[in-house]
Amino acid sequence: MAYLGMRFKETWAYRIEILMWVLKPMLQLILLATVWRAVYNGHSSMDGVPLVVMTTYVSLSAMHTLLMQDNMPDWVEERVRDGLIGADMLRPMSLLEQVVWGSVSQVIMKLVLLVFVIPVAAIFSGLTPPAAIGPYLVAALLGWMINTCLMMLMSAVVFWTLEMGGMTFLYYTISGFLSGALVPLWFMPGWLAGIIGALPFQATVYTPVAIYVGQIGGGAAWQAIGVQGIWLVLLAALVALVWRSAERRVVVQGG
Amino acid sequence: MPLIETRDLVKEFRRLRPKQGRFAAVRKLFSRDYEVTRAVDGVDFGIAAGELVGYLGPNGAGKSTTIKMLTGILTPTSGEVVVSGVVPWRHRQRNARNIGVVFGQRTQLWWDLPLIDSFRLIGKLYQVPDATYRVNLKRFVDLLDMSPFVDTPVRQLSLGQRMRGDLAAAMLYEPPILYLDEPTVGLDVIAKERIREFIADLNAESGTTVILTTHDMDDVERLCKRLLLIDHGKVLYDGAVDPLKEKYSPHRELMVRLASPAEVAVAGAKVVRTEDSRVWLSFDPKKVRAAALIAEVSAAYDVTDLSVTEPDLEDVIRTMYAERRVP
Amino acid sequence: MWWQLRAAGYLFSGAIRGMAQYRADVVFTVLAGMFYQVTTFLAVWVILARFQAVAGWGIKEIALLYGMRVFSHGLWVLPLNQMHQLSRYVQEGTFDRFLVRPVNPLVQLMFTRVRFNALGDLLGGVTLMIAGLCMVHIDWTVWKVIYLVLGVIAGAMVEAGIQLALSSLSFRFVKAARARYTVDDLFNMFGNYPARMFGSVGMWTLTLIPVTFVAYLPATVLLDRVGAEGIPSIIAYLSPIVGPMVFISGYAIWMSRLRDYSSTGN
Repeated sequence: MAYLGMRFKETWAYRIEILMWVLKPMLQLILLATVWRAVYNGHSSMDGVPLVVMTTYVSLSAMHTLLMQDNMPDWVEERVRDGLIGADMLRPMSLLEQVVWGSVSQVIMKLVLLVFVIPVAAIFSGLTPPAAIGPYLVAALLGWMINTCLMMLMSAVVFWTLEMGGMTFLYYTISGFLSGALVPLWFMPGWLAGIIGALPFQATVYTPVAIYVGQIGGGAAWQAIGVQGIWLVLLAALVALVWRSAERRVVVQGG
Repeated sequence: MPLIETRDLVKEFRRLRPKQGRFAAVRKLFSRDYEVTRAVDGVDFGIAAGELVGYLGPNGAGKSTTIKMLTGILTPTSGEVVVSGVVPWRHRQRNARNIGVVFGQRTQLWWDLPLIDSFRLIGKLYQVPDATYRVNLKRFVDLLDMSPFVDTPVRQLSLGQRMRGDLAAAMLYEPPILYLDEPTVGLDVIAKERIREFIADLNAESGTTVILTTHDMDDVERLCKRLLLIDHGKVLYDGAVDPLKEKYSPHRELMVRLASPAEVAVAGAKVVRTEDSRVWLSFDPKKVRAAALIAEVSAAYDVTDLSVTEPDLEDVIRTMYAERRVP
Repeated sequence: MWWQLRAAGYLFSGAIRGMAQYRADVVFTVLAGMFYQVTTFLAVWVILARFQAVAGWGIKEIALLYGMRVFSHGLWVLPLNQMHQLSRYVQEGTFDRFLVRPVNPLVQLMFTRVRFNALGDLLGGVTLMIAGLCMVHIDWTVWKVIYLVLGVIAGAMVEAGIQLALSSLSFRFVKAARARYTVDDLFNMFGNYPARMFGSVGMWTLTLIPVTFVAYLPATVLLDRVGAEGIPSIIAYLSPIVGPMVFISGYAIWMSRLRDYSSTGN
């Protein structure tokens, strides 16, 4: 708990930056909402999908994407570069746990910031109540956990290459598209949706948001959650494996 | 016509008053509540060509701010400054050709490149003719003994080596004026002496006008004939070193070593310190001549060794500032 | 003027020589930049594959608009890539040095270090613009070709000028310069789409900012859609003039803000 408090304080120190950060998703959702409205061109529904659903999708996916963004890879890279990672590893809490708690502190802060985003979303985009709140919350939590695992895998790379540089940016770009944040899977051509559906990224943002707006309903929702669960287990195992050998690497290299 | 001239130079800094409490940062964004600091408060002086001037003052006195206005880094709030016929902040690039600047803490050399590459770049940026460049390069490499490391990347150089590199780089294009900001800070005794010698030679032989800011009193004693003391943005003293010493610390000290510890009492002198068999006597050379005092003490006591010391410039300056602070 | 160019050359070669160790990182970042531009367009493509048009602009027209804007963006981001270092230089005091050298401080800022990361943006932009030019149907004339070239360059100047002006905030307010990024986001996001989509108020706001001058207005001219978009034709035709105007103002502001420079340390 104390560690969480400490990481939280670290994040609080950058509150002005973070506030500025929030502007971007706000702009993004205003833009996307406008695009979709223009695309619908007066029709209240296309392909069986009402416009309100689309605008709500845009709002929710912007908010979820905000929650998914995390400085974990940069934090790890910085600690490795400055040589402090050795000290981190000596703490009573394992490095893995530290990194997770760091992400927790960030997501809490972002949840608070969402308070500012919600009114903007409601006014400029759309925000209907959730179609199924229970499955949504479960899917959202699972989505965040999967995202954290992916972040951890990304961060682990730095133990081998020592320099992240463009890789995190590349990751955000690709995952941004693949997570369904920009375009929902149901509007994509079949083959593309198939590929994206097979990857874990869409489980982070698309699944919970689609459940929220009701595009994935009832039994299908729980199926999707099941898929999330499988991904989580797979990724968590991968993370454990990768981190163990990453930490071993640090010890070998002397920090 | 002085080479460097300032008239009623003022520099104010406006800073938002720090806010406390909740949402301090946000309130600060919208605040119009400024506090104004007068870092330099009406400074007047003229420096002639060929002088070697020490510019001293405690931290925050306005020293660096003045130098930054002379070099064109800062724009004055009011007042005039003219360096070699150029107003520095108005014609920075023209002013830059006339000056060499060495910042003690920050290097002007290219960090990732070998030292020689930095020299070459400087030569090109200042449009130094090839022949002149080669002559000066050789001269400085020899004078400052840089050949062992002239091909080493700057980031691998020691502080002393870097400082020598910076000095050479500043002089490669033969500027008539050289500003040195704490050039000996962090250096060992030998390195310091080498730098001081270089500066003294530069001033004596090439006639380079040197303005030196430093906290090191040995630098001042060794190099400066004239001192400009600044405190709280104003010039406290502008003149030669000796009169300063005389005015603020007219006493000299006679140290005598006795054969065996004893109480010493002599007319015209005051015992300021005793340590084992050594006694320090303070006296006013205007009232009592050193020679007379020595004779008197030697006659009355068994003296095995003695020395006479000048007032310490550091003490002098400390006294000066202390006195000044009394309103 | 020529002197500044030569000085830039000297600084540039010095910077390149000092760069050897950073090579690996560059490849990734360039790739990432390219990817970024291409994938965000892909999202638009997917939408338009399904829904033929946005505010009367089909996929081909949007491809041209998008490509022009991203190319303009890449054109200034690459040379001015060191701009974000300004606040660091100011804080570390390195900027002092630029003011005591006989070279324009902006030139020194641009060329003392070079990073080719932004090449990704430029390459992405080139790709998109070429794709757009291939896809769209335009009645090409010599004037239109010239107009295209001018429009793209002017677009770069608009963005660069604004970024320059904003970066000069670094001289006085270290943190306020972050506003640059938000404004950059604004241009990056809203500049790629036909402004008419945002309604009359939205379009005029974007014109005043002036996002629409970057690619949208020149594109309307090339596509012979000038009157239809709701902005007076004269403004659209003369849009390339705005570029140099904004850039010169931005530059003037930057140079004049040097007076605010308060330098740190001591």
